[in-house]
Amino acid sequence: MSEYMEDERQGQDEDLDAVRRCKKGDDAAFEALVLRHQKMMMNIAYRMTGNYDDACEVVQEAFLSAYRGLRDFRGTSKFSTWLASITINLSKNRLKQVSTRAGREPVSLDDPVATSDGEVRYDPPSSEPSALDQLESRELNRQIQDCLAALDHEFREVIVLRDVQGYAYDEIAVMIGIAAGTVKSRLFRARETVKNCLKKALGDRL
Amino acid sequence: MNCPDIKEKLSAYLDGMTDPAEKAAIEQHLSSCRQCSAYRAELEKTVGRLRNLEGIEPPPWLSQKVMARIREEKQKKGFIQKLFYPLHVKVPIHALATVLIAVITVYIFKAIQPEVLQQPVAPAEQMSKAMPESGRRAEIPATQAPAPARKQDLMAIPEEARRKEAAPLADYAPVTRPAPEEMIVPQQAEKRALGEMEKTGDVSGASRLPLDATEAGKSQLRASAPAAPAPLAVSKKPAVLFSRRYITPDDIAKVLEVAVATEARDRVVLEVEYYVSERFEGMASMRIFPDIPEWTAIEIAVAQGRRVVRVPLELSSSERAPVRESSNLTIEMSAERKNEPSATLLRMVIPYRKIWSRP
Repeated sequence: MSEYMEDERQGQDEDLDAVRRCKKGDDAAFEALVLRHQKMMMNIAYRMTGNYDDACEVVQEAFLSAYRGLRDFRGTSKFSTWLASITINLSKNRLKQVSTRAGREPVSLDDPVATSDGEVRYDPPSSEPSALDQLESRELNRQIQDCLAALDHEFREVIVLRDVQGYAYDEIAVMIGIAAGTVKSRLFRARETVKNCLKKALGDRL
Repeated sequence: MNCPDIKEKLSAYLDGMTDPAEKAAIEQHLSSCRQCSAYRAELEKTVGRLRNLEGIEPPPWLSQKVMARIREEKQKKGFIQKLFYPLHVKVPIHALATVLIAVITVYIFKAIQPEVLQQPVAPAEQMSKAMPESGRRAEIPATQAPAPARKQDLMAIPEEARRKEAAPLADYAPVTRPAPEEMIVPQQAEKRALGEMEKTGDVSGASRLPLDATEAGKSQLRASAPAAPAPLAVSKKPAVLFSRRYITPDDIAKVLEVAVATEARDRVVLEVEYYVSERFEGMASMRIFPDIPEWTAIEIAVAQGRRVVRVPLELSSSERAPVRESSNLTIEMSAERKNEPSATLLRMVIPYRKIWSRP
């Protein structure tokens, strides 16, 4: 869970340095920030939206939004936390858009995606050990994702930020703009719901 | 605490977010409650599943696309910025432009101004030259008659006139006349047109009074003498109407025209057009004395503004004394203010021949 957190802590000084250079117009510095934080943001966006395409879109928007608002970043919080809060907000916006969109076209991961550089195929991670494990892992991931998707947005964001991303209670409180006590109670509800959902789907394999 | 309370606190307990008292109570309960212990185990497993979720890798093109969109936006922003510069750039540019416009406006105005003022100002400047200055006397050409000659002439003025004029005339000693050229017979009954006036300093032939300098001015005066009064040309308006900058003390009084209105053997009436500034406070008077011993000098009070006065000059005695061409006509305007000595505003000496000469 905390692999992103650890990366983030190590890179915190680098982040601030890169942010300083970005403010002076150094695009390469921003690219470094993108490369460093895109995976964390992708995970938040994907766990929130449950859709790889939407997650990609959300991450792009989040980076653009961050770039535009870079001047407003005062360094009072960690840069990664700031990015995460942007991502979570844009993810929620995306979910609202999706819910209002009547019939959504299902997108296959195997479908080529049109980009400015031409058509690019998705390249999902392929570090699966064995076919059986792979199948099992995929199934488990799908189940967990389904259980997360069943949560209301305000519960989903708390459990994603805490259990998937490993943020502290007070960080989550700041990111979402709620009290730490609310984080605690929402997290309990979210965990209990996901637990029941997984128990129902996996039975003894939980 | 009962089981639902414990279950609710277990979430925070797993994260170490309970205070010591709660923690102790929970642990005590868990040790005795199998149901809650089972719940705790399930919750821990669920959290563990979530923590161990496989990370989602972003597509390799994501960072490229992000940077491409940023560069695109930057270009657009750069273009828009040219249209909408930030205030810290815009304000100095606008201020500079405003100052530049102001400077150019002033420059253009100054460049145009002399043309606007030249017409009305010219007479004023020229007239001011006609006024007496101590320096001007020194400029009088040596060819002119010396001062003593004049003093001798004055001796011929009748006694009462001489008494009257003695003091001011003393000042005139340096003012001299041109040498005689021709004789003019004054007994012409018909009205005479005016010749050109010349200032004392200009007797040597340099410049003429501007009002008389043009043929138009002359013809106007010719017409004015017998019948209709001369309409005043616009260009004759005093400069004070246009610009205070050009007003000098010399502008206080001017003699604009002198013409012979009536002429008989023993009587000549001069028509003198003069100007006394509205700004002048006090009494002004005009003295005219012909440089002919037999003719009386005369002093009249003049009012402010631009006016025409008729000044009669008469022979002081019955003896015949024709106006000689060599004689000059001296016109002096002086001012008296309260508690101040009389000040000479101007003095002009006009050769008689210029007034009497036929067209």
